[in-house]
Amino acid sequence: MEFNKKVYDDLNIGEDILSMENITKIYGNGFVANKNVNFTIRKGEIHGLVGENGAGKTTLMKVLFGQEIPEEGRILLAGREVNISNPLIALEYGIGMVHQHFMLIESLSVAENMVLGSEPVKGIAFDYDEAVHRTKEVSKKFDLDVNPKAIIRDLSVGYKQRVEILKMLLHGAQILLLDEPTAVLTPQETRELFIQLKQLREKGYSIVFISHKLNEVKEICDRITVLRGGESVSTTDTATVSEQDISKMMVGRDVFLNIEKKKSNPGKPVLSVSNLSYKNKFGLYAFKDLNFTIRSGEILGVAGVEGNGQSELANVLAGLEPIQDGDIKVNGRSIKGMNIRQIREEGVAVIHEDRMTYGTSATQSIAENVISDRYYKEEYKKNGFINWEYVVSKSKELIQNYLIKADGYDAEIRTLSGGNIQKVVAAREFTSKLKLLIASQPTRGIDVGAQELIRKKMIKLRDEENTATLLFSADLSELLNGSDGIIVMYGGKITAYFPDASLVNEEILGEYMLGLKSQSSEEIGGVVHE
Amino acid sequence: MSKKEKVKTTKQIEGMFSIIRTLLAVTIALIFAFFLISTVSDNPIKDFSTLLIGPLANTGRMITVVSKMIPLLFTGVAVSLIYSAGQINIAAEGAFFAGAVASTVVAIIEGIPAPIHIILSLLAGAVTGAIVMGIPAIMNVRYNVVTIVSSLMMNYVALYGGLYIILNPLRDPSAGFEASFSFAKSAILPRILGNDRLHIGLLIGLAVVIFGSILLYKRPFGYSIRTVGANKRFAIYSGIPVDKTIVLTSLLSGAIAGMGGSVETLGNYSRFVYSGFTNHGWDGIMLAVLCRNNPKTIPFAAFFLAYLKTSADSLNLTSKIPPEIISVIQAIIIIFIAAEKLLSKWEHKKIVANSQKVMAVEKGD
Repeated sequence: MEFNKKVYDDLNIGEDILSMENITKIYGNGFVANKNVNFTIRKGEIHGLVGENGAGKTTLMKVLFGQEIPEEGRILLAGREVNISNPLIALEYGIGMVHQHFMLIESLSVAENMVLGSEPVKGIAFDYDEAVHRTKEVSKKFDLDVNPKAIIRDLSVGYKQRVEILKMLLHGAQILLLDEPTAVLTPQETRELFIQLKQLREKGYSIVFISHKLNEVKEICDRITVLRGGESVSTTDTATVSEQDISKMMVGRDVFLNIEKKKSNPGKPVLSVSNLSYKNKFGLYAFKDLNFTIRSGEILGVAGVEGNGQSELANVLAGLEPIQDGDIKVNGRSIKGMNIRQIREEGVAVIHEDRMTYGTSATQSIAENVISDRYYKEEYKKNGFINWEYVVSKSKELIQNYLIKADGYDAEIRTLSGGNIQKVVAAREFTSKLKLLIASQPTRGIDVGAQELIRKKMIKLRDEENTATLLFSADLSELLNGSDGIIVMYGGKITAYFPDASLVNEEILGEYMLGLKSQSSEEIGGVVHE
Repeated sequence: MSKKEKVKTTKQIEGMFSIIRTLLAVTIALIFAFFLISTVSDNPIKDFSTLLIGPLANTGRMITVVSKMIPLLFTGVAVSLIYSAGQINIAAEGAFFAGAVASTVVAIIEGIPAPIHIILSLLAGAVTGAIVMGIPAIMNVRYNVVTIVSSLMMNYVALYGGLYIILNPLRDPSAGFEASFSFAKSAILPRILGNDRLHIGLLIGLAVVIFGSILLYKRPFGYSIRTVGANKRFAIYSGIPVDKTIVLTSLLSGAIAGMGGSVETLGNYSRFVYSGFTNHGWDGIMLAVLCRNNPKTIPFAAFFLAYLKTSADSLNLTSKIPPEIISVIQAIIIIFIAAEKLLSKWEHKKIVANSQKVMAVEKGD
């Protein structure tokens, strides 16, 4: 390649290193993700890219990293127009991206992952020692400590992220694109990341920091660019704007994400989990001896770093995995041995964390998606046939009540945006005559409007139908704001119970989530109610 | 408002393109066929027109087309059903063959009154077909055996098991060739429309088409089938009895294919004459793909395929061109239609342009 990264060295700190002009990207389903977006990055800056989910941040970065080809617009690197048609070319230009979902091979070591794509060889064999050597070198150069021989799957999320960043640096990245890097981190890990990013800035690297956590953006970014509805609204120096200003630019109006809610008025336990244990397919305990209850009219939040047994717990409660040991009672009846239809008929509704695999069926219509748990009931039948007229009218009603934006009730799920897909899930689950709601990451990766709607509806269920809710969320502010009580899961155990969520904060939760602290068994036992 | 009505939805554009894609695939295949014919024929124009309109030459040939279409209705619907459930169960071929064998066993019995004899023969075919396709499904659900492999093997079990029965206990030594005893008159399917080559199987086949489309799109069970096929994990999560749906659909699909074998045998022959696979099951797979698993369109696709087969036969009679060419053409059509990305760039451009139009309209409001 004729492009020489030396041109970057000739630039002074603060000069434009990259600019994207009039980028327009339209997806195959007709969704316009970017409309004439302009975006510049200077050398040696941390540039915040903010906007609601669905505003086009990730798409813009994918365009820059060569994963999406824009319909219009051009990209200039150090003043020269370039054509970035795939990620390998992006890397050659010195552009590296760390995705939300890490692109690491779990079964390989850190060193092997680091050199993936440019593997050193000795003769015809892979040169492992050289890979370790290179990893150590780059780790030392950037003062980012990693153990080259550690296996990826044994590492924490924060550690994996560090490996990803180092991998990009090893491949010669000068411009780092970080897609919501803090979404998966605890407050403590976030602080550590920020120190590392600031060091990179000192060394003259440019960093694009995507986030919708405005306090973080305020803290670390030099400039910010706000995207709204696929368009670039403005680029400003961070120092000149307040968080409130940024959020107004993002949404176009004042938002109150903190939903007002009354104090809960819990009744009898709806869900009682006793001595519940679950071993994964490798024979390891995902969680062990869990005991807790949720009372009617109560939302119990579950905090925890991903991978501490929450997903498995949610799946067992939903009937997707069997009850191996212990018992689960819903309204006093054990659901052991019941199939999923029977469990649902007991009044259990589930928002699965993976809405595209479990929550919806992408190639079926909205109408077909909202009846999947009830199509066989008398209400939806006429003389043994599905009463499509009734299904359609019900679907239209749900589309209206849940503000689902779509071509119509017959629009296929795959043509909707993430937020609207999640609204379809909520529309079905929240109208299933539920007594117990298992909500896993109900608002992850969706726009603020959809988040607001889903949170409000959950509180409405609590207040008007006395629904008991178990809320799993990686978004701590959602947990703190949306739950009545909170438990923390660490290493497959409940390590803390806070009866009143309003009396805790992210810092305290973080300490328990990282396993630095744990409560006494009396305190934890408080989550079991008679 | 009038501006807004002109704007299409993405779904409409996709629908339009699926029609254009099919037409284009057929056109390309025919062009290819023309070149193939040119290389082997002394009179390519005449032979090509035989290929195109040969079957229209006389009513006899049209009747051949319809009669060739009948078994395809059964296997097309059978495969559509099982593919709708997302199961790559390819035992329809074996089910068809086994169905023919089973109904032979019943049909050679003398002394059963006509309508009952026919019903019993067809039932025997259906039950046997159901077993052939049901076994791979049960093995998959119970023991996680890969369906495509087990169903492929079931075809051979059905073929050689069936041939064993025909060539040993049921063989008629007086026939002069390898065939079963003759069917009892009471088991032969009645003729319709006063033509001795059109039998009641046509009506049964059309009934199966109607049954299939009503089942899939109007009945709760059909919804289960389609949902399991579209996203099995979503179906599990929603509480749909997935294993039961898969097994029942396989049994049903096998029953339809098996009955197809019965109808074809009892409608056209006086004894069992097959010595190998009849290919109707494989054709069923092709039809299901062409129709995107929708039974409603199976008759048209089956007619198209039967038409091509008849053209091939007449081409074979009137020219030097071997019928294998038709197989090549069929294969090309499938390849093109299965190519979802054919024209995708153009389609994408259309969708993009439409989205820009929508944007403009929204701004105008």
